[in-house]
Amino acid sequence: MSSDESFRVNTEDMAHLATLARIRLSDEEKAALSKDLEAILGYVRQVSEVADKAPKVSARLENVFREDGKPHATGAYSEVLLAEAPAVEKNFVKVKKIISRR
Amino acid sequence: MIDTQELTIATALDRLADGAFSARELAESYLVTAKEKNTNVNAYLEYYDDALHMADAVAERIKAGETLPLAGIPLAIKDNILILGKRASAGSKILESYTATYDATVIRRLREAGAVFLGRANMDEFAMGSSTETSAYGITKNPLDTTRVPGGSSGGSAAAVAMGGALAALGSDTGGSIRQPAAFVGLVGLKPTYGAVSRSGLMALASSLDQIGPITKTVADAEIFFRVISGSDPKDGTTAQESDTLSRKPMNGAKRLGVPEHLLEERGIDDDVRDNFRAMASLLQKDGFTLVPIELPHIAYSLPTYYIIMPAEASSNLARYDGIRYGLSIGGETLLDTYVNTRTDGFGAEVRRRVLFGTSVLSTGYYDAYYKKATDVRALIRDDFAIAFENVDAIITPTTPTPAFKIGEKARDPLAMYYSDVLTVPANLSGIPALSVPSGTVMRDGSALPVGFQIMAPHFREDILFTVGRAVERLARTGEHYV
Repeated sequence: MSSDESFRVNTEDMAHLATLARIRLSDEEKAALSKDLEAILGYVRQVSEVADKAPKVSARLENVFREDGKPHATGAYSEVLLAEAPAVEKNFVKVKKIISRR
Repeated sequence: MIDTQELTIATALDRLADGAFSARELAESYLVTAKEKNTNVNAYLEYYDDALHMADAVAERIKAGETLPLAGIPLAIKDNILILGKRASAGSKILESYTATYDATVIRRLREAGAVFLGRANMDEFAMGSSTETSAYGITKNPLDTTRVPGGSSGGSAAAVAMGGALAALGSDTGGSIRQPAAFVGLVGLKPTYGAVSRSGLMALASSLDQIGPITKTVADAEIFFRVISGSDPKDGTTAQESDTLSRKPMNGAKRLGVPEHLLEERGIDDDVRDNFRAMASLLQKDGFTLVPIELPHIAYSLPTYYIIMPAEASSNLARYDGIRYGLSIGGETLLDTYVNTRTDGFGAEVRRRVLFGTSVLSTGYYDAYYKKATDVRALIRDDFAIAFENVDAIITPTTPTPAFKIGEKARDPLAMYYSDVLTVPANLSGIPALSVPSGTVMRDGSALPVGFQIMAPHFREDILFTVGRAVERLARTGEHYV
């Protein structure tokens, strides 16, 4: 995206966002969506008017953890979960290879 | 023949106990009405084939001496809440073939309470919408006027109850998705306190805002339903421990109602909706409540804050739908191609818009300018409420700026659609509970359309909502507050 100050969204910006979001857009969609995004960004940027006087959020939040332990039996849910996967081999979800030998 | 429109959870429980009808007869009556009305309304996407079996099983449990708080109560379940072995698609093509692999915690609790699940209710795709027009499975119409939307995103749930096709329904509310449709069809809708109800088994839209809640005909029904589904859950680390909620002392009659006058003057709130609200407020005053003008100085920033945080969280939550572990999968040359093909084909226009927008506010250079600022402003809004609640027991507003709008009226203008959430998003941003109660009607093109009256209370003070809500319900029945 071009700069912090402007909220113009051009078609190259849209192409970049689409890549990040793993969505393919036609040229018409890029043009239409960049207008929508400009309008939405233009609207929501009014949060900057008051953001400076806001308290620091991080100071108020706490993490909630639970102890590791008491796992369910290995494989207890494998069958029902794998039944939903589009491609399966043995007890694994099957995906395309992403590393190849030189 | 059972009159499905007239029954409430409370009266149905009585009549089941009296033996006036059986759980099976009750479920059958609702299914018959649902199927008859659904051809026109499209509230249900599917009827569960084991509904009558569930009703019989409940009858057996009652016979065995169990006391069940929702014995035999037939419910519609929003399509984004998981029931083991049932389809759940969140109104999206990308999950058309998905079968849930476990029960949501709310479903487990409802089963234990004896509820009967009739079917799954239509919704805006992944709960992104305020009109149930973005579902991949067709729009849902408002049963009170089928040229109008039922609201959204829980529009199918609300319409199912309004058409007499369920006694109550389960919805989810991220920015108003329970309260706004309840208001649009003349029902009661509760968004519980964030952390009061487990989100385990709810398909996440925006995890810091989502809550599951009931859509019912009466405030008493909402209270019965809420007691069943609320409580801590090890599967949702954001649920409050019982000790946190019990330590809050119950209030002896909530009496002081805060009225954010400046919010009522916002552009976009219809005059007759505002008049309806003021008339109900003055009836409450005559009834013994005290009206206190209050200020929520940053509330005007709620909507822009919401429309940064919600899409940001949605864009990360929806990253999981990539054609690998479940749902639609359209293979390509590479792994990346599979992701892109699947998501491009599987997501509808509004989901793409919000995912792209969420991606943009989280991207380099924009994260600080948008997302981070929005989280800071969110804290300001939360503080506004905390300060106001030092002086009042509850805050009242209309639920929506307008009554149900026409199908197609706002579908092409995202900002106009987003504006319909202006009065409901503050409760989600601050995590407080809020209840919408029907408060008479306004006329539009010859149709009398329901108006919702919203009550907001401090965290974990649903009891206050029910107290004030029952008064609104009683006063609305007199009809004195509208002409």
